[in-house]
Amino acid sequence: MNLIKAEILRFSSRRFIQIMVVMLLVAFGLTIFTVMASTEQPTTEMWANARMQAAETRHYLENEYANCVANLTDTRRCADLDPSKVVVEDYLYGVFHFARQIEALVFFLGAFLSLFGYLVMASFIGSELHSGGMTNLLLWRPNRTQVLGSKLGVGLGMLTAISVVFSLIYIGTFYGIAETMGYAGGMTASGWSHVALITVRGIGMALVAGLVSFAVATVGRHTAAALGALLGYVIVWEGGARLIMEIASRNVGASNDPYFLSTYIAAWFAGEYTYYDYTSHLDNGAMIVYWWQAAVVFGALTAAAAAVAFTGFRRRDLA
Amino acid sequence: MDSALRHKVTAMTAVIEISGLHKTFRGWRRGPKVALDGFDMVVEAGQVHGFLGPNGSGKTTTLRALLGLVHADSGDMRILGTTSADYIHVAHRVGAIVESPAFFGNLSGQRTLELLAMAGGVPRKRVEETLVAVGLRDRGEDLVKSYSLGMKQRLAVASALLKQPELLILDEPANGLDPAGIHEMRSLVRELASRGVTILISSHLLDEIEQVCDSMTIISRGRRVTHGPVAQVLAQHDKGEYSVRVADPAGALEAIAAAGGSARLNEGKLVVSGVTDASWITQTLGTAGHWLTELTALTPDLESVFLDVTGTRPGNGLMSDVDDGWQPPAPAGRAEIEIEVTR
Repeated sequence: MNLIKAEILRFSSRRFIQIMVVMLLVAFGLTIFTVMASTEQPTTEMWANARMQAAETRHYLENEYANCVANLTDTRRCADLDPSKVVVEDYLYGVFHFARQIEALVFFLGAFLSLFGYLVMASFIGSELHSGGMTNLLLWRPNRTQVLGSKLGVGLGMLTAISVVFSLIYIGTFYGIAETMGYAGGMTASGWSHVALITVRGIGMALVAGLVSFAVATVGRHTAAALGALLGYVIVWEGGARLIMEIASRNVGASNDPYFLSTYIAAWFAGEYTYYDYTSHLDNGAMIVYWWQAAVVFGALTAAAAAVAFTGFRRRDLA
Repeated sequence: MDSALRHKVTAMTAVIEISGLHKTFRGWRRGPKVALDGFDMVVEAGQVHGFLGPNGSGKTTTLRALLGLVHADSGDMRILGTTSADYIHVAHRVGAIVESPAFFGNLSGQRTLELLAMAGGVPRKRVEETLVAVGLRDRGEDLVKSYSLGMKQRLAVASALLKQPELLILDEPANGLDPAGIHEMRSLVRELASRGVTILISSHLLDEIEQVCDSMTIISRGRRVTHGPVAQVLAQHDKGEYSVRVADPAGALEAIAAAGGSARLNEGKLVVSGVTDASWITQTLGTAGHWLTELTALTPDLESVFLDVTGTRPGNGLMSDVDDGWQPPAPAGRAEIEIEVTR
């Protein structure tokens, strides 16, 4: 318990972490400022125009949708033309519409929290190993597994707390903006559930990113090791390897998407991700990766990373 | 005292026992580097023990291995009566600084100690006490990044004292300290020793070691080259040399040689060696008509002993390389000693 309390104090005392929290607030502030600068409360005239445009669109789509349903066997692909899905609020231009726009903003929040988690967790262990702080601590608490475990647990706990508090403030602020300067209507119970779900997924992704960066920085003994690994993965694998796989592929139309983490990140955030592999005769080549498959991949990744980090840390000589 | 009994006594009173310690660091580019090659050391309870050796001789590796920071390849280590595998159970009784410990610059000295105290379950009042003990009371609330090297070293010593240890391991504790700081450190070591704390000090300040230590071990290229009480080690290397000032040093040199003695000229003085009784010099030179104006016994100091036993005495105006120390032969009959020590 003493060790955990000390680690919590150490986490909150770290200058880099304090700066990253400020950066999080700055990014948040910029997003709010941009939204506030580009929204206004809808006037009666704006509502009238929106209703008129919505009616015209519905009228246009009725024929298009009927043709689509008549000509395609897979009617799911006509969903975008369904006139019943036309919503008046979509034609309120220059108005922040909470129900329509909060999803994209929460995706952004999740991405930013993931980056925050990656950097903060890498620094939390990397700087300790690099500076000799970990050696000092081990002179007091020689049980390496306990020390590293406490640090990881406290790091992930603090990251969760920061993410939850920040997400609540973030979503609450945008709802407040919609109420006072935009349009907050149209939010149903299922809409709130969806916002909650993608927020939780964003926090989950931040924890996965944090754990992986913690493990990489532990193995590499430096914060920069985690940053280098991230950069290397994005450039070498997501960029270079994807390109080479496409060039070298003998099967025209085959997809390499399952080999890239970005596929699972997209599936995790959106609930599912569809890519097309035309060498497959199933469902016109449409392949779907579901969020739970992404969860399995991330679970395996984090378990492997943690196992390597803890095993290596127990065995290594410390400078 | 026979060998078996002597080792039993050692096992009862020794706080640190190291026997046949081996450690090789394996690098990808430069290949294996042997840091410890069968090293032995015994530190008795209540003593201040000096641990000396040239740069790269294995001092810090030994201390790190002792504290569980480095995994030894083979050998036996016991600290406060427990094996190194069980060090975790006695860690709260051991205070240590290894090399120059790094602290976060953005924390105050007091905060740094408070975090360590909290992690180790030490009452917070000890923080204030140790800050006073190392002379940082008035600067405790300043950020560590504003500290000088000597102040950081004081903070490091404070962190080691926080636990009120029975065994204190200090690696270069005077590093960066000013003369007053060195004096205070010496007083602190003496005070702790008077309270029964066993202290192991690794240092290059040989004069300090000579002043404060009861016993010592010298290591060179991973092996022990000499050890024992400081006075005994110095006595072992006493060559019976005397410095003699006479009006005609060259003539006196011939007189000593004619009488069967050994002498050399050094900076205008005559250095006579291999003499057990100084009266032989006065008698020999007086008989030959050389009247002495000065006769001084050249007792060895720790520096000369250190340079001799480690083979690092500079020559030709060049500095010796860090790996150029003398490597003693591996000790024989180790297996029997290990059995006795670890029993």
